Amino acid sequence: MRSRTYKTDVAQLVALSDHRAPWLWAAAALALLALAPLVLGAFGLNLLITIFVLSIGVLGLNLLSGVAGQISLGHAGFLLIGAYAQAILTTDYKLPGLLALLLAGAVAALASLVVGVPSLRLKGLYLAITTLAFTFIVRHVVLFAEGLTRGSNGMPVEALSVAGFSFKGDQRFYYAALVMLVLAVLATLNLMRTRIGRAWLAVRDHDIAARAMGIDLMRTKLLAFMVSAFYTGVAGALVAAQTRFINVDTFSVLVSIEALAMVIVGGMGRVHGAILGTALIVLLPETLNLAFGAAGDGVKTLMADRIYEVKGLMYGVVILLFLRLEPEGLAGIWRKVKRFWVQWPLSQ
Amino acid sequence: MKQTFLAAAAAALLSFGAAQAQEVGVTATEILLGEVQPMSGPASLIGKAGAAGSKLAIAEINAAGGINGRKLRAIYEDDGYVPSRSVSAVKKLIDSDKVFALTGTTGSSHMVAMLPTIEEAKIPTIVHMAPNPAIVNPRRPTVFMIGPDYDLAGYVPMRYMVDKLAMKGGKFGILYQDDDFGKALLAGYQKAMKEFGLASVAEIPFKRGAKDFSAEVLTLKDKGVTGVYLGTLTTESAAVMSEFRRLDMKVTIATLWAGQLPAAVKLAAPAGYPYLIPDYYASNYDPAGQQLMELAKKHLSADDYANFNRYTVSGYVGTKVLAEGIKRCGAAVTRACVVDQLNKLQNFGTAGLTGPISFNNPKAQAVLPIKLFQTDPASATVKSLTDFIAY
Amino acid sequence: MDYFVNLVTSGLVIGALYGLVAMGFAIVYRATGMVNFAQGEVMMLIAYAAYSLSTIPGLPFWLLLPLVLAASVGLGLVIERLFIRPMLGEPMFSRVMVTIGLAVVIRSSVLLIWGVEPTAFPRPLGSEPLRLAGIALYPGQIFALVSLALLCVLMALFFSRSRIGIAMRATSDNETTALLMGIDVKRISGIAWALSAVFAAFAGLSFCLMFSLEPEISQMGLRGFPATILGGLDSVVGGAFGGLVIGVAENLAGGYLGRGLKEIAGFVLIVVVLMVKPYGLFGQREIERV
Repeated sequence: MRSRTYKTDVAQLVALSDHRAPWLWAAAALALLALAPLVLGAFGLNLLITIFVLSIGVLGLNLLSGVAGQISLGHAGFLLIGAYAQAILTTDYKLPGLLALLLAGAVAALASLVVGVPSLRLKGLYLAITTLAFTFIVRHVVLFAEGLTRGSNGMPVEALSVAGFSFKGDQRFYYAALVMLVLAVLATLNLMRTRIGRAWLAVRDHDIAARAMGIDLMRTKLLAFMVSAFYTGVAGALVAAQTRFINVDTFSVLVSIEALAMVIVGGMGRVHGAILGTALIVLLPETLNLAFGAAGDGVKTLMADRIYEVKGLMYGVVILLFLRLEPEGLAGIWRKVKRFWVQWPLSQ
Repeated sequence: MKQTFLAAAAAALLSFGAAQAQEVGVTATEILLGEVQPMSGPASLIGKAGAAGSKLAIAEINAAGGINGRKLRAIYEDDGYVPSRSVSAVKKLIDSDKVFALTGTTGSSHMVAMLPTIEEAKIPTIVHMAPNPAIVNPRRPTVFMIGPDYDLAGYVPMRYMVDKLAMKGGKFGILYQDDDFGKALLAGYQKAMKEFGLASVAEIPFKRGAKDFSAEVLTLKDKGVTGVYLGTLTTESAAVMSEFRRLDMKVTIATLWAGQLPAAVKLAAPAGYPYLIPDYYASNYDPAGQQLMELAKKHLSADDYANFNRYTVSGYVGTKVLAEGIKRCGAAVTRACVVDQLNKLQNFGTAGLTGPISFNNPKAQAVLPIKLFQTDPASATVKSLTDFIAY
Repeated sequence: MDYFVNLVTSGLVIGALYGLVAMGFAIVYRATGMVNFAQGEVMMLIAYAAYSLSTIPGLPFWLLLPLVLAASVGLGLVIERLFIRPMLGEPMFSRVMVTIGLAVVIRSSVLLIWGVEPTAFPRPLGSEPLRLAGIALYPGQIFALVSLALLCVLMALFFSRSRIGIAMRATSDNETTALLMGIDVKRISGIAWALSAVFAAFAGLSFCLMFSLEPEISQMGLRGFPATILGGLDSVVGGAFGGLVIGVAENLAGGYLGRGLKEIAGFVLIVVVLMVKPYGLFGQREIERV
C-alpha cells in the first residue's frame, strides 16, 4: 500500500511519480523490450516496431479525442503528410534524419490548422466528417502534386540516419522506434499535467463552461489539433522510414477508423490505454492466425476458401465484445487488475 | 551476465547451424513455398484466383510424385491489398515460416515495397501477376518476372483498331485509373497515338472505386470519341458500357486483360458492346484454357473452380516455372542452384497457356507475346482474334 | 446546353442514391443522437438478401419489393434490440464504435455467405433506357429518383401528421420530457432503426438496379456522409436534398473541371457550407445549457 505524499522541494513536486516503484517497473519493462531483438526474428520485431510507431500516432489522437474531446476521423491524413514529408526531405533534399522527423511533425501540425479552424465552429459529428473530408483532400493533393510526390507511383524512402549512424534494418530501427515512443510517452504524461492539459480536459467536458471559466477556446482547440498532428506526423514519418516505400494507399480512411478503435479499446484519455489499445488491434489478426493454425487441418480445409472472411468476422466480434463487456477499455481492465493485486487478499 | 547469455546463445546458434546442413525450406521429403496474395479486400477475386492456380500446379506435381522425390507445399499469406501488410506478410514467410521461394507477389506497388526484404534474404521470387517495370529496373539477382511491359496493354488494342478496323481517321479517348497501373496504360495508349498519328481528344483520369461514370462518359460523347480505351476493372467497365448504351454512343471499345474475367464479361454483356481485350494468357474458352479447367475440376475446390480465370492460369504458370527450376537442380536443391537454373531458362513451354518463357536476358523478364480477344455479348463468351504475337 | 442538362440529370440520379443513404443516417441521428456507421453494410446485407429472394422462381417484382421491405424492418429492429439498446448510457464514442464493429461483422458475414464475385442483379423493371425529351434514363435510375421523392413526401407527412412521427420529434428534443408525457422512448428508437433499414433497402435496391450486386455496395455508406452533413444531421428531408446537391455538384465538377476533382467536389462543398451554416443547410442548431 502506498502512502507518504509529503513533499519538501520543487523537484519532488514536479516529478512524475513520488514513489520509486513505478520507476523500477518502467526500467524493468524497458530492459525487457531492449533485449527483444536478441530473441525475436524479423517478423516479431516488425510487429513490435509497428506497435511502437502506431502508438505514437494513437497517443496523438488520444490527446485530441480522448483528452480534448474533439473527434477526428482524419488522422490518416496527418500520417500521410508526415510520411511524405519525411520521404521528400530525406530522399530529395538529403536532410539529416532527425531534422526531417521534426520537420515532418511540424508540417503536419501546420496542416492541422486546416481542420483546426473549422473545429472552432463545428461540434461533434459535423467536426468528425470535416476531418474525414480532410483525409480525402490530402490524398487528392498528394496525387495532384506529382512533381513533388511522384503522384501515384509512390516514393522510396531513405533509411533513417542520425548523425551518420544508419538505422537501416529491423534490429537497429527497433531501438530508434523504442526511443521515440519513450519520448512521446514522457511528453504526453507531462503535457497532461500542465495548464494546457487541464484546459483540454475542461474543454472536453463542456467547452462553453470552460470558456465561461476563462479558458481561451480558440487557442486551446487549435493547440490540441497542432500537438496531436505533430505526434501523428512524426509517427507517419517513422512508418515511412520503416517500410522504406510509401504511396497514397499506405494510409487509407480505414486507418483513421482503426486508430479510433485503438483509442477506444485502450481506454480514452489514458496513456497506457493508447499503447495497450494499439498493441491489441495490431496483434489481433496475428492471434487469430495462430488460433486458426492451432485449430488443426480439419477446420482449415472446412473454411479454406472463406478463411479471410471468417477472420474479418472474428475481428469485428472481438471489438463488439470488448465494447459491450468492458467499455472503459483495456485501461479499465488494467486498473481493476492493479487494484485486485494491490488489495489482495482483501480484494473483492 | 549479459556476456554469458550472449555466448550461450551464439554457441546454441552455431551448433544448430552445423546440424542443419539442408537449405532453408527444403527437407528430404518436402519443399516449402510461400505466396503473398490479396485474398480479402478489393482485389480478393484476383488474389484468390492466383492462389488457386498455384494450388492447382502443386496438386498436379504432387500427384505425379513430386519433384525428384520431394513434394511441394505452399503457405498463402493475405495482405488485403495494403502494401505495409505485404511487407509484414513476406517477413513472416521468410523469417517465421522459412519458405524456400516465393511464387506469389500480390500487386505492383506492394511488390516494390517488399523488394528490400526479398533482396536482403536472397530468396528466389517469381513475379507473374503484376509485371511492373520498376521491379526489374535495376535487375534484382533472385527475382524473375513473367509478363510483357504493362504499357503494351494500352498499345496493342489501339494498334489493332488502326491496322485491322481501319479507324485511323477516328477520334480516340482513354479512361484511366489515377495510380501507377493506370499511368502505364496511358503511356501505352499515347505511344500508339503518336506512332500512328491518331487524334486523341480525351484523356480522363478517375479514382479507383468510383461507381458513377456519367460525367466521364458525357465528356467522351461531347468530344465525339469513336475509339475508346477503358482502363477500368470488372464492375466499372460494365457501368461505363451501360452509360454508353444509355447515351446511344457508337464506339469501339478496348480494355485491359482483367476485362477477360468471366464475371466482367457477364456483367458487360447486357450493354451489347463486343470489346477488345489484350492478354498474354489463354482465356477460359481457348483449348489450352479449357484443358487446364479440366485439371482444375479434379484438383481444386468447387469455389476455386467456379472462380477460374486468367489469374488462375497466371498462378499455375508461375509455380510451374519455379518447379522447373527446382527440377533442373536434381537432388541438391539450394536457392543458389535454382536461381542459376532459372537464369538459364529458355523457351519453357506451357502447353499453349502462354508464349514460351525465357529468363536468359539482362532483366530476367519473360516478355511474353500478346493475344487479342473479343467478347461476344450475345453468348457472354470470349473468342480469340489473333494468336500470340510479339510486339 | 445539352451537355449541361445531361450532367445535371446524371447528377440527380447519383444524388438520389446519396440522398437515400443520407436519409437513413438522418433518421437514426434524429431519434437517438448517434451516427450509424454500419448504414452502408446494412444496405449491402439487404441488397444481397433481396438477390437471394429474387432467385425464387416465379416471384414477381411487386411481391418481391414488400418482402424485402418487411425483411429490412425486421433487420432494423433486431439490430437495435441486440446491439444498440444494451449500450444505452455508455459514452457516445463507445456507442458509435459498436456500429463500426457491427459494420465489420456484417460485411464479413455477407462475403462469407455470398462470396466476393460481382453478380448481375435481375432487371425486373426492364433493361432498356426510356427516352423522353432528349434524355434517356434506365428504369433503375428512374426507380431511384421516384423512391427518393416518394419517401421525402412520406417523411414530411410522417413527422407533421402521424402520432409516431410527432413522438419522435418530441423524443429528439428532450427525452426526459417525452418520457413524462407517456411516450415509449425505447419503442421510438426501434422504429427509427427500422425506418433507417427501409431507407437502406431502397438505397440498396436502387444501387443494384443501376449497377450490379457487388461487395462495394458497403462503400456507399461513406459516400453518403457528405450528403447528410450538408443537409443537416438531423434533417431527413435535408439529407435527401443534400444528396441531390452533392450529386449534381460532383457531376458538374467532373464534366467541366475534370482532372479527378469530381471525387473531392462533394467534400470541398460541405466544408465551405459548414463554415457558413455549422449545422448543415436544414439542421437544427443545438442549444446547450451550461
